[in-house]
Amino acid sequence: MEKLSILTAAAKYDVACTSSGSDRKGVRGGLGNTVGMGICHSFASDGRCISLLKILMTNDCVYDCKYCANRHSNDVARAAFTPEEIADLTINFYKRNYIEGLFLSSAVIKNADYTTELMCQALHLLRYRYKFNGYIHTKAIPGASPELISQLGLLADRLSVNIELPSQEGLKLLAPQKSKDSIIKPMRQIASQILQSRQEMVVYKSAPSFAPAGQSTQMIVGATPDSDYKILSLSQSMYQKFSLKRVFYSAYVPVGSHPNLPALTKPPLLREHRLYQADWLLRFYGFSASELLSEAQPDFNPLLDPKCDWALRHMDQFPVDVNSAPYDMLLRVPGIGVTSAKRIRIARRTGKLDFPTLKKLGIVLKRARYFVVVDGKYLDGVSMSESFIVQNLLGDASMLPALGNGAQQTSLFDYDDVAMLPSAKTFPPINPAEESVKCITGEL
Amino acid sequence: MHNGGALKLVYTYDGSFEGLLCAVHHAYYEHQVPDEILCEDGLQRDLMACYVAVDTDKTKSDAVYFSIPKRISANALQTAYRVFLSEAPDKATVIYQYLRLGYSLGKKVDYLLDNDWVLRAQKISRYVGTEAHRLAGLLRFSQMTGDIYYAAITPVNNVLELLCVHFADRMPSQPWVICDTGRKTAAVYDTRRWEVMRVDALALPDYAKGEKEYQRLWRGFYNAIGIESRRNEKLRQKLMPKMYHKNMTEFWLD
Ligand code: SF4
Repeated sequence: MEKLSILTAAAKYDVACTSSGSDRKGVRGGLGNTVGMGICHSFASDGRCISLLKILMTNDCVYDCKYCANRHSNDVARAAFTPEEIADLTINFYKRNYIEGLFLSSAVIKNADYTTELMCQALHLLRYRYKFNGYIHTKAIPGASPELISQLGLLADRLSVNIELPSQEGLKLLAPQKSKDSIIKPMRQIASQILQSRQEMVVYKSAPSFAPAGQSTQMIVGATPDSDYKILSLSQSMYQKFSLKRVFYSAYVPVGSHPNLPALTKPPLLREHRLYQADWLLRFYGFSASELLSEAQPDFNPLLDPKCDWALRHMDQFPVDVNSAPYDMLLRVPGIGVTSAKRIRIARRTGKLDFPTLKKLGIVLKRARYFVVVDGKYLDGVSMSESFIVQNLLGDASMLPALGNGAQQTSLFDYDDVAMLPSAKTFPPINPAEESVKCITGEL
Repeated sequence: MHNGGALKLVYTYDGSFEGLLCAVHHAYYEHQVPDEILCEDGLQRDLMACYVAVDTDKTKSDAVYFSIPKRISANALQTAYRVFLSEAPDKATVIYQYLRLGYSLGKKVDYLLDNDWVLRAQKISRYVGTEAHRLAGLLRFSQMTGDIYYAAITPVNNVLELLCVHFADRMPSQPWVICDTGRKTAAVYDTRRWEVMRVDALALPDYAKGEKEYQRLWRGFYNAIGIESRRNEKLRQKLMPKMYHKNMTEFWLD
């Protein structure tokens, strides 16, 4: 019991907790399935989705990364699970529907290979003795041999190697035993094995699948002086080069003091939130990092979300006409999300749209009204000057969004469209009152 | 479109999905457009309405049932059924109007996003789907003696069947029972098929050995995983409304 608390508390800063990305039916005689859209089993006191049993094999680390609570020089209680204990706990939690699967990570015990072997053993027990068919995400330990990483990949749904720090200098300063190379190498290997396995599966259905839910990574935000632009550009290049499924951002939570660490009292949650918003824009809205930020403007505007900020710098491209704007452009309108843009695209096939119809479709015009027109007219019929728009949007922005990245991870919603879900308790009336529509995450 | 005079035309059905489909059938063949379709149970009769009680007949309901995917879309059938699982007071009328439009428009009915009926049908259906999805995560089983896994739920909508589909796939080799304690119905799965039955009193066996210990471990995990400096009670409340807490292990006391 105590062991579980120690090894959970030690794992909790890792944010990747989605179980999405795999879609596998249950099998007779086995236990478990995976569901494409992901299922949240509970929500922790910080509002984050709990989907996986997120634990460390051990927190007894031979390394000494300054930002990490498990570092060798830190004086904390140490504990370790055996592979059997991990498997037993996973199965029993899974059957009680506490969790959707396992997220196994570990500090480095003895060396990277030894640690990875232990993790492989736990996964092997689960997959073969217990016939566990549910979701497993594991961390690949930087420095482990390619053979072991490939074994791990054949047992897990998703693998991740955490970048942790967005720059080489940061690593040198705070994680001297790790190098950029030891992190990038396994990422590259995993990316190429995933690709190879996909190709083989096309040819032979029964080819073993290697990490079918792909690869992800995590970066700590705020432990080094790296700018948002640097972080976002890095994410973009990793999405492209290693076809990563997700990059997670984790606001640095002070876990100790060291001259090389910034003196923070609170985790930079707003910054983390902006990065998630921008990450969303990269993956689903067709934006690139250099459109959102630049050397001249390396950090996000705390007052405006990245999409709004971009739009205000590109007022020459607005307003757009909802009836004729191409889909890609609709996606760039602040306040219109993927679901809304799709609904507009569908609805305008059967007739011309006007503002009352847009409202009926559940499209929130609070922000979009400054950027869209019907027949050349804004919602209120008046034309608006740029400064008027800026003023109004900044007015809205004074209500900063409720923070916590649980919302981004529920994957039930996408960013702008949270507003379209009916509230939990009441049945939606035919025309929902605009006010009843609230966003958990703030609209883009 | 009123059928004779100022009287409202109201169909009544027996409260089953089949019964409702028969009402759709009746309207179609009688060339009538009822203003409302209501369940017979708890009906409050209005003096200014004319009531037609529609009988439930398996051949007729089957005819309608199979025609929906053929003439409208599989999606429309799912939408109609999910609306039926809701507790919306006007659900039968919504389903009827939605299907009526569907029969004239085919699968395009779901593009008619500015129609009030279509919109309402889709909204209620999404609401039911969302609750089922949510409960697929928040439902908690306990292991009972005899290796039966038991869970109690009290959902707003009647999502029990939707959950059965999910859990039969998730734990195919494990017998389980899910009981909707509010509606007094229970689904029993015996590793081959599941069946929903009415239960007035359920005689529960005791917890299996070790069950309490796993519950404690889970609470330990739950309490250890939150990050104190990011505490956000409002967000947690929003994502996991209080109404679900009483059936969840993490909120029970040791
Ligand atoms: S190797 Fe991992 S567990 Fe060990 S100190 Fe570094 S970050 Fe922490």
